[in-house]
Amino acid sequence: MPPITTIMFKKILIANRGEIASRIAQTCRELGIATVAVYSEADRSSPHVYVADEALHIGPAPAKESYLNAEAIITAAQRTGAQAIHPGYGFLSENPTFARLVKEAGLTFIGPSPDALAAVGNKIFARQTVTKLGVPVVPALENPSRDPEVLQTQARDLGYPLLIKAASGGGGKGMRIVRDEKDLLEGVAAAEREALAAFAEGTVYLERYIERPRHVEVQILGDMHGTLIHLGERECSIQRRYQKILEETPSPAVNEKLREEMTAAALTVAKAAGYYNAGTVEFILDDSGHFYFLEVNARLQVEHPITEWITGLDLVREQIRIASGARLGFTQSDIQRRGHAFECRIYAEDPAHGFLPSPGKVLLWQAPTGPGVRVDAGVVSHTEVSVYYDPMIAKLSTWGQDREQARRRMESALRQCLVLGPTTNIPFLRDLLAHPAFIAGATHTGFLPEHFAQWQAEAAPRLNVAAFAAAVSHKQSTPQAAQSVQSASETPWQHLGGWRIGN
Amino acid sequence: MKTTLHARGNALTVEYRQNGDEYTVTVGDTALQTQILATHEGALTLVVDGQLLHAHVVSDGPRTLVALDGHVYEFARGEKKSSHSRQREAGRLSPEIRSPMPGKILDVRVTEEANVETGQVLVVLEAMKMENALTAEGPARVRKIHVAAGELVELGQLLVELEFPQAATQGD
Repeated sequence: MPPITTIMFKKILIANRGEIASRIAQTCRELGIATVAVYSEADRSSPHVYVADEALHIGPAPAKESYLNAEAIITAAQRTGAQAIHPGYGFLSENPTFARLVKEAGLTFIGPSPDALAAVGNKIFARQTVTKLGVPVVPALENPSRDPEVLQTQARDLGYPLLIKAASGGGGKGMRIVRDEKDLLEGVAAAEREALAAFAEGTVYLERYIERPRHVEVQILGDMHGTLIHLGERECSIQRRYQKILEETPSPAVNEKLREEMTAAALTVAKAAGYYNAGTVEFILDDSGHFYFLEVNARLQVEHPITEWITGLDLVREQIRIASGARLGFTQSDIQRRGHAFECRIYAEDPAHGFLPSPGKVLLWQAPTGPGVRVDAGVVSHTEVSVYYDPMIAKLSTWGQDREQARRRMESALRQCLVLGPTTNIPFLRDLLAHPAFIAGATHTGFLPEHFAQWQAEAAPRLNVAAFAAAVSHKQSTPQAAQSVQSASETPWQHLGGWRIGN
Repeated sequence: MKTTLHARGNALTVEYRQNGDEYTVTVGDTALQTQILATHEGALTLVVDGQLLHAHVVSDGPRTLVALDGHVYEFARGEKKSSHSRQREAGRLSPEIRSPMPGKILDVRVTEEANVETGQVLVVLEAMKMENALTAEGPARVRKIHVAAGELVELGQLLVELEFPQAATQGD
């Protein structure tokens, strides 16, 4: 048992919204810490406003003027007497300037130091520092030669297949895969043209192309007294538009030896950056077990519940304790990982139409329950899924003694999860969990384009029963119906008036 | 009791007779025997073919949504179909491409007078942290473009006007 530490914070401001704001408030309540919520115009009646002890309006709906408004947030903390700010994920969570401003205002930022945030947020740190530490990065040729013959030799040394990327790029523009030397020169020329058109800057560089890569990340946790440990890995290969929608731990592709290597690499990177609090080191894992450093996420991750499932820790509790100056109170050998966990992100979006967001009012929300099922929800019935923010409405996570049990529990939780109003990705997630390649654990970041590019919801199997339920319910909900129900409760239906619709 | 609903643009006639908690139902030309065990605020407990089912029904304007056995069913009442999405449900193509959310136009991929295919990207909109491709729902000609890359647009703002061949606009 770790020694019981007195938490110095009496009040914490939560600089976020949605499910993560509610989740942080939950732990604060358990620790006896008062909470302050902040909200934008669009979130006046959002659940996160009500679960906190106090709530302050900080600006209009656009995030730039509210949840990204550092000054308004710090002022809110000072006005309410909060001693610390938990940034959640996204918004200002990885912003070193914000962390510094919080510190200068005499408050505590619940996260790594501003210096560590700046260090890991710098892409040059990523490649250069990490390489010096002996942590592998994806092999790349940063200054390809302009001489065709030299370039061909350089590319051969790098190895095929390779990827041509625009130096000032993003969003896949100017990117090209070259599998054979004969296509190299033409590929570079085309990528330069594309880059020039898109970014007004035609510089390209070459990188080894990793086939069927997995996205595997290591959770780390460290205090300000030099203790730094890992909590195992999470695999987050299932992505659409470069965003994760399903995560699991442990990764089906990571054995004990690989885990040892990857977690050691993660700790090396974190240590070099002087990192404390919770963080995640992301890697790409190829199909022959080689891994390459990607980046550090210097915050609590969306998918942290699955690590909580298998370690039994509350990461938000640890974050608050660490920020208060407490010692971790346990070491690496105290961490026991047990069983398997999945997380599914429920989005208000339409997977059959390019995952287009589907904002609107949630008319009915009902969370699943049962052994090994956890729900982190950002909505209740009648919450509006706003067009201003990320359309994630809830996270379901399940635990099982093994992968298959956790998977089946997730299938069942998704079946029970009711969202009426916006279109959601629930049917898509169910088909994903039932896919033979997914069941086999054969996941990679191109899994969805490979197996689900043409996905459509299966034909409604009980349309007739649903139509009957719609017809019969509508009568019950009319004003006459309410009266009839009271006067003849044994058979309310026969008293109801007609419903003529459609023709 | 007879009602007509629309599901994905198809008319569906529901007719039922009640005897105590037993219902003899006909949907289209399919017969169904069911029992309603309980109802409470839009939640129904039904028995169909010996199987216990829970349905949740909510109405939202002309839409009625039913959650049943892990699936969501959407029905439309009435004939007025004003919004873009309702036109799509009813199988009718909308000539007006409007912004589904406030955001920023990243790219306009077509030019006026161009002919476009089903699924062809017309405009790329950045909103809700993502790039969203707005596509043509059927083969059409681009009649007018109302926005340019870099422009900020409001919810429902007209972006592109299409013209569908005559036959495609009549189906419902």
